[in-house]
Amino acid sequence: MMLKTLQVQNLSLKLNDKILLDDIQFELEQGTVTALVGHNGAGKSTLMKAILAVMEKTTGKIIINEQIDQDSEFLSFKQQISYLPEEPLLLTELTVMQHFQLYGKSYQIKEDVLNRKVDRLVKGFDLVDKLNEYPESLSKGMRQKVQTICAMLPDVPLMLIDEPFMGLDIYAIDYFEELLKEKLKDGTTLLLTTHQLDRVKDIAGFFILLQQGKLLSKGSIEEFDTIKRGTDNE
Amino acid sequence: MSNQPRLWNVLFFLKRNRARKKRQLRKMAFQLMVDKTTGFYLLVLGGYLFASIFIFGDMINKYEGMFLTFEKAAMERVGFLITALPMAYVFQSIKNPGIIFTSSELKLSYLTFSIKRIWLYCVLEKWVKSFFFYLLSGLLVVLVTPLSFEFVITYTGTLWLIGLLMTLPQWKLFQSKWYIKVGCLLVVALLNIVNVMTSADYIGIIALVLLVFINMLLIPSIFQFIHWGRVAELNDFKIWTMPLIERASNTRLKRQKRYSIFQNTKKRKKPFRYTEKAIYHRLWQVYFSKNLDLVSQVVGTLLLMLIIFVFINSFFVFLGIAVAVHVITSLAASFFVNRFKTDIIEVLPWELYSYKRTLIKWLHMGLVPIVLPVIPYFILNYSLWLPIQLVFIYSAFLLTYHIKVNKSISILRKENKKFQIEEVIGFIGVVLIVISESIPTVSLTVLLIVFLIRKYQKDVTYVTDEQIR
Repeated sequence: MMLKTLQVQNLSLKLNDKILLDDIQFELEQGTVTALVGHNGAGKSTLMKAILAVMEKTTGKIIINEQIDQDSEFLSFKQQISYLPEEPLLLTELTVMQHFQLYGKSYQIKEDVLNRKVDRLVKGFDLVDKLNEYPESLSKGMRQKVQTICAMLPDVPLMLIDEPFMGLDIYAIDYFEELLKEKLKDGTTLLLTTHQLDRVKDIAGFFILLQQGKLLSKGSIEEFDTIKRGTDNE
Repeated sequence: MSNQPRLWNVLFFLKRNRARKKRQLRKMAFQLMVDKTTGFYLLVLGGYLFASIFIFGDMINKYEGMFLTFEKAAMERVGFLITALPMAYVFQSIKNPGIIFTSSELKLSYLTFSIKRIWLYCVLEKWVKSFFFYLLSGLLVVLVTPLSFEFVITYTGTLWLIGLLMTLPQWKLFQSKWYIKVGCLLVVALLNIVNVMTSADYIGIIALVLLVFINMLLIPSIFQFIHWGRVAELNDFKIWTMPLIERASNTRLKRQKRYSIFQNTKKRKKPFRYTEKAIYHRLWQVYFSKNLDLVSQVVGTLLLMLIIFVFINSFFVFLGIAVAVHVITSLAASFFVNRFKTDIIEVLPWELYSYKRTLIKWLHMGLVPIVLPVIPYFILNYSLWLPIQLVFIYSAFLLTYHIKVNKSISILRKENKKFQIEEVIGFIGVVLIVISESIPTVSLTVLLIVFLIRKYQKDVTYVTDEQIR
């Protein structure tokens, strides 16, 4: 039986009496890719933020690797997740390399391992001469590349990716896809949000469809096509 | 012939529309917050306030003698004003260039307009506005108080003139490195101390001549090494921070913060030594620079309180120290929680105890200005108990710090641990500081406090981040 990397049970989230997530329930198995789909305001990013505990859930349970509970082992829980936001969250006051070091220290990556990874990734994303630059001196695409490298540094069981490929050029997208496949091979589970399912169809095996904070349907990506056609025909 | 509009017209158009937009926003907020009934009462209150200005004028005329004494004394001290006012401008230069030059003005310079001329118009606008502000304020003071026109014009004129002469120094200082700002602040503070000690009229005149000379020196370099983006970003924030709108919409305008006050040094660009100490120390620095306003307000208030208390009596000095210990440790605890709820740190794993270890150094730095007024007091009132009392006060501070930040850590870890006993212990420690003034033997409890500190530190070192993982 496959290890369940993420279990979301009866998750609800209210903000000022407004229900943003309503009784969400799903599981992700190890080494799988699941696309979180839905229209704007469906609750995709909110769900990610609830998993990260950036937004406090009202009820429900979130468990990683079948044992690390967000409520009872919060610090360990955070160590298991790497998050790639839609908009870079880089600090104005830290250079590119200093960001990598911050990620390395936060995820307890040894210095030589970190340097090896950084060396490889900056070459891949063509950022070799930008290591000592501050984010504001980089283009938007470059900042997104830096944030992408940050998220790729730790070896964690779960990666949350909000709108992958956003702001990346085609070469960077190809390289990023390659890296994601490597991560999958190593057993990392990916949960990614997207508006454009076509772009992640090649790597995503499953989907979760959200609508107005509710889980409308879930299943394999092939089933999603049937659902979509059905909805389109109505 | 060129069809290009004149710069003055374009700037006037820009400012008129900015004012219009702000007016519309205020109107919307007002409509949201005030209904007809409240509006009626506000109108009545406004009328009453207007009338009260004249009632107030009649009332204070009764104290004419007092005003005349004040006026005579104040007239003799105009020199102090000349040396004291620049200090405010130098202090402001830490975060404010003093000239309203926003991203809109900056964008105009991308067109065919000269950035130098735009800047010059902004400066002229500032001077003209401040002239009318002081003129109207002065007239109001002359109207409602028995103060003479000559006195009011001298003071308002000095305020306006110093504002004018400090425009360039503030502009250039804003662009300078922090240690130049601190150096200037110290020089001006020294000039004020000399002025207070000698009470010599010529110090004010020297300061004025010096200011004119500095302006002449700065004129050729007005536009050299200017970080226009930073100036615009800061002014955008300043212009669009509208408390009424924030209150009505229940939101708070956040500064873009694309530019930091610490950037641009080669040393800071180098990669960190790969230690928690180096990385988290910088993160605290970043955090405190973003909360500089709040930190300086708290430290400034405590400093002022202690300066006043030092002149009252010994009991108030110890009371002041106890209040400072309580306020600083409470602020540290609240900053500790907030640090993890902002920016990139929010989404990263947290080495809470490493962050705690690096925070204490910053706390010690914050203590320095608070300790300064107390040191001369203790030197002048030295007793044999004093060294023990000082060790005791510091221990009580550390104990309170550990207890409060441990509670913050517990909150961040989402634990349901109760801290009532620890908080009572911390509170007793703070109260004992006050008691130790009249009963110095209380300071001997330092031994117990050191034991407790070790216990709460042990809570930290025994449960390491590695173990938590």
